[in-house]
Amino acid sequence: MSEVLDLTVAQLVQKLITREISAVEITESYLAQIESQMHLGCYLSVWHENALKAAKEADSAGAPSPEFPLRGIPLAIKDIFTTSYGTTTCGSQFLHEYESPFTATCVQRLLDAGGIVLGKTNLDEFAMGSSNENSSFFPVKNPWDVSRVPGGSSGGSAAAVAARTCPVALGTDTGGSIRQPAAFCGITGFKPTYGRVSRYGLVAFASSLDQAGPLGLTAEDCALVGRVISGVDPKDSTSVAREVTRWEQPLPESCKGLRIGIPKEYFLSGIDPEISLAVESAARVLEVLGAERVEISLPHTEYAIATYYVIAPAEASSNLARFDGVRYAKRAAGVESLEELYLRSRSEGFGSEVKRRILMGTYVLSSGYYDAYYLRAQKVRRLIQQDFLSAFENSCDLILCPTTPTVAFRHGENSASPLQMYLNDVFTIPTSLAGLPAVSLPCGMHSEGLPIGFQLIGRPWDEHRLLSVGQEFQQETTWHSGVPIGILSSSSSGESSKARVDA
Amino acid sequence: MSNVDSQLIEKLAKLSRVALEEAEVQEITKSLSSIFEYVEQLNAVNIAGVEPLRHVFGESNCFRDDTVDAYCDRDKILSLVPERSGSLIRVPLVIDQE
Repeated sequence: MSEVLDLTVAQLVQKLITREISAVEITESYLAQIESQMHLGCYLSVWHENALKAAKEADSAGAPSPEFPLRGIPLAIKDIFTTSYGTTTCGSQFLHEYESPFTATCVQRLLDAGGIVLGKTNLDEFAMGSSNENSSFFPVKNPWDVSRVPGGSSGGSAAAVAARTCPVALGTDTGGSIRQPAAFCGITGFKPTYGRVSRYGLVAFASSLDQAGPLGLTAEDCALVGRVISGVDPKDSTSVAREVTRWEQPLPESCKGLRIGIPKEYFLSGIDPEISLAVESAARVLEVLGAERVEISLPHTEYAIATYYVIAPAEASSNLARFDGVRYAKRAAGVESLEELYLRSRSEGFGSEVKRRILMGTYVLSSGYYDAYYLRAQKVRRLIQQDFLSAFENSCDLILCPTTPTVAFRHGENSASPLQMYLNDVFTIPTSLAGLPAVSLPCGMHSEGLPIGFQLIGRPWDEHRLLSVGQEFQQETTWHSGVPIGILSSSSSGESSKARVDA
Repeated sequence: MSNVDSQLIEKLAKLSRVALEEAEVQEITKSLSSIFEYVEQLNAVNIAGVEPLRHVFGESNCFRDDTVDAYCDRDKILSLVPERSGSLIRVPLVIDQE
């Protein structure tokens, strides 16, 4: 049933409503596709039996409706979200067989809306990485070119959507981990305003930066899934009580008179020229639709990476202190003291990037260094945010820029130097530091056969306008419809399953 | 210049309760050295009079009513404990017997 696989969530919902297809048929198609794309390493666990059971229940319950907008729609969930079914590994040996006693709020909201979980996707360990090479299980391959990375840390989710193993997936974005893999994999990735989506059950990496969000084939699908998961949650005190409107119903003529800020600092040297050209073309499309381009300056842009790599590891070192081998998950065998229990459980459980970031965080928070690093970085963070807020106040309604400085790189290409890997996030980190909503949309193809994405950044809480512009852009362009060669052919990869399957 | 050396890395490893092999100490010393050299550029920023940004939109303590919430999955949580004695978690001896 490969004709199902290239449908969007919106199209699948229509077919379910008209009873042209059943939830079971849809789920079976995606499960078969997961099987045939196993070699990409997108999934850490597949809920074969549970998904089919949920699909049967969806068919009995009825068609999608305003109360159950995702009824019968399969989805994949990044394995950083706790689920009471199956395992939650965070891509780490520390949690490799961990079964959570509770389900994350945003996953529960998807289930309550009728969504069917196909499985948990692969990721960089504890969401730390930009290539999905830091998964302690196996790396993920980019469906457009298997010698390349899908991006990270939501690499499994991005590749899963691009490979048509699910129409939409949930990911998380701390410094770009939804947007960058979306760009590398030729799909749409959306990060809401910080505080829109509950982080209850989102295993914490950096609490002031982490946000959950969807990756999908279209801005419309991301808008629907995004608003289903959004909304205040009493279990997350950083979630904010703000009305969530129907983002998947675009505001009419969202581009007319829209002032689009182009930050001059984002177009300095270091970007692949084909990316600059593709992003420039995207800006032109919006101009044709009625928008007006304005040059803006975000003067503290050059300090964003340094700021992030002080703050995020600091918060990570604190958040990962809970993994101590005492109450759950990994406990090292044969230890003789409590101290040895901590040391060995953590050393055996954590990969090298995680250890590196824990040590970085411990350093910047330690006595004598706190003011020089952490406190200073928090002040620079305010200046970075102020750059954006001033631009929105004085000059523009949305900001447009590239998502990444390069297209997907080869496996191992950036592994020599962690700093080199960190520099990949130059265009996504500032938005995260400022807490703003942003979406990455496909806007071209590189001569090397790899997708290019561009970013739209909005005012705080202005997701409706942001996603309306994204939807209008996708009505005028077809970049988001691209499918990697061979993905929709019926042949199986022949590779045995590396993912854990429940049946 | 950043002052990251292997002695510092060993101290940080101890503070973070992460045991490192010698090769890991060397590798982390090298990578953290270059990372913190990069981070030094933050010293060039004029932060006079700037308040630190702790929460992006200035939210602070969020309270709820002090009422008891029933939690019913105690057994499930206890089933995750690596070693236990009834509802107590068993760990290596912490206090000297003498």
